[in-house]
Amino acid sequence: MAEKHRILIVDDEVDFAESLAYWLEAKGYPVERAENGKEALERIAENPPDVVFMDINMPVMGGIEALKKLRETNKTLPVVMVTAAYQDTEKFMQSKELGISGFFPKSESLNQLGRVLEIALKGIKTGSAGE
Amino acid sequence: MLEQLRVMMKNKPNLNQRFILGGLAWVLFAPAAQAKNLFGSEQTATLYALVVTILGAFLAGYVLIRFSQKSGTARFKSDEKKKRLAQPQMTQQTDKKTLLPAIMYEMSKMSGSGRQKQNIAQSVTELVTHAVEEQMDTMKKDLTQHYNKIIEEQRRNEAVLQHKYQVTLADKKQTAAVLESIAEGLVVVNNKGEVIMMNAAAKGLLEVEDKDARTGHSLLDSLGEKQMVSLVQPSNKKSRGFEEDREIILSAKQESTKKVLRASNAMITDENGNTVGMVSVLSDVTKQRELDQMKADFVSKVSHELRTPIVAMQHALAILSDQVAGSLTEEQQKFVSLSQRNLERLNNLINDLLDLSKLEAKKMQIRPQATAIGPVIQQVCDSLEAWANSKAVTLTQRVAPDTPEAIFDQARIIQVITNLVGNSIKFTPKQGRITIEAKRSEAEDMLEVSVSDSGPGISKEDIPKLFGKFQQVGERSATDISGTGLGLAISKEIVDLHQGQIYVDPNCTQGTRFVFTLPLAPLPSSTEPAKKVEA
Repeated sequence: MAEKHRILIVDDEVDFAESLAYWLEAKGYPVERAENGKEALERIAENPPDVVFMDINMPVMGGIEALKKLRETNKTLPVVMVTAAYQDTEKFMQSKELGISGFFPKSESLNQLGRVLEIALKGIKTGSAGE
Repeated sequence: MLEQLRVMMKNKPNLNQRFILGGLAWVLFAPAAQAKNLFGSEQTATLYALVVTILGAFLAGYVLIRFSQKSGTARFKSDEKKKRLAQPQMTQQTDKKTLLPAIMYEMSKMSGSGRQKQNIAQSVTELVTHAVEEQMDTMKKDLTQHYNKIIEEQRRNEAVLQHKYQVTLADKKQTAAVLESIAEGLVVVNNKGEVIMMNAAAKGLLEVEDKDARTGHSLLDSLGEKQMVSLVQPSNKKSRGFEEDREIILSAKQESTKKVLRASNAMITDENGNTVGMVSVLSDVTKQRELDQMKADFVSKVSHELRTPIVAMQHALAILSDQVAGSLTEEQQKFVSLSQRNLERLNNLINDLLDLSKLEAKKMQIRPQATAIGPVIQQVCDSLEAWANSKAVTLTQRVAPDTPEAIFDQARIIQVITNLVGNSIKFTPKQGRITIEAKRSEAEDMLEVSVSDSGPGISKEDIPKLFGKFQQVGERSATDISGTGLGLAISKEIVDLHQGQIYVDPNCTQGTRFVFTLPLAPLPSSTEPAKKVEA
């Protein structure tokens, strides 16, 4: 596991993001945070992270729209879509078409998050964002 | 007869009549002339002559008429006919007047004073007239009575008829008024789809003009709605009586004016069982459907809103319990576990609510496929083993060796078995025993899965309540996790979706035995070996 990989967590649910960030940091990953898609795009433009955890439903700019805009300029940055399990499958499919590294349902355990992250990091080595 | 005589007197008698009259006079008056000598007194003789004359006159008249009828005195007859036709009622009225001169004429031929003759003639006339009048009166009275009787009867019959008509009319009006004023729409169509009857509510619901709702008009013409075909065309199903309700969506240009109608249809059949028409009761369920949708949306929204903080708390507690944020003392670990357990409960409650709202909205999809039940039971036992162990409750699986595969949605049936076993663990005291059994049902061609425990059992009064929503029966131990009361209701819905049945075994005398059935797979491809695993 590359300890130096920087992770960007994009979620308006601050408390959820807090736990996620704490857990990742505890595993040795430097974590940055953004609260909506627009803010995330700005951060990526300034200083691109190695992996992005992107929520779907957010104010100002949602995860799907942000992903679409990101893919216009960056086709390789690994993005993991963070979803609520009860959301409709249409959004999953949409994000899948746009090229993502994986999904992380919010209700899953943090250990599962570790597995999803591993897959995303493998993508960096092979140079592909999609699964 | 007297009249005829009078007429004969007035009109000049013809040759035959003269001859007869002459003959008669001679026969009668010859003895009368001799009578003076026989009776001694002239008066007595006159009276005799008078009586003989009257009798003779009657006789003569009678003979004359018979004769004239036979010989055909045309003029006399036709005159008489004409007179009768012209003044039929005159005969009666003039009887007395015409009778008197006739008698007077006859008496004038007799001897005696004119005054006496006139008096006698008067008396005889009075007598005859009186007799005739009396007879006439009696006949008149009889006739009048008879006539009145007939009229009276006819009036009575008319009154009865009128009354019956009024009653029928009132009944008809009442029925029509009742049908017209009920809030539900009522449409009666024949088998050609033509309206036989349509009340005001139905016209309003279907937005049909009065002219289109008239009897005999095809409902299809005026509605032009594809959905309406189902309403007006009786289905080909051989249904007797009520069909299942149908829902009709009346589309509109604007979403706000869209209507959802529920039609309860009943076929009208003739004595041979042929469908001759259909009665549809329509009710507007638009508001109901809107409310259902609102409820579903609300539950979905609330579930989402509730889950978000729960998920945040679960992750925070996981960081603590996994000691990512530093080591915990035994006491700290105990309270973190308590929080986690209760969060899990809250999460399950929300999942149950969401499941139930999906089931109620008929949105739950099951993906049934041929599956072996053995591994499914094993999976449930594995997940509940720790909980059962904590209560020193033994879980036993018993799957018969020849148990065929059944058709079910694995995830949903795991949910059902987990619920049943979980309930049993909750209610079974320490050192208890829970057995999960699967076999081919003896009674029907189904797979039968049962969960029996050595718990306190369920009272007979409580059994019907079991599968209701938010129902919890029996005494639960204070330390156990309480359920949502939705588990059995959801299990029932899931089993129903699989075309199976779920019930409490009524023959179970010790503890409780829940049974549910699932349809068997058409061709069992494998059989599960018998297992007996002590958990």
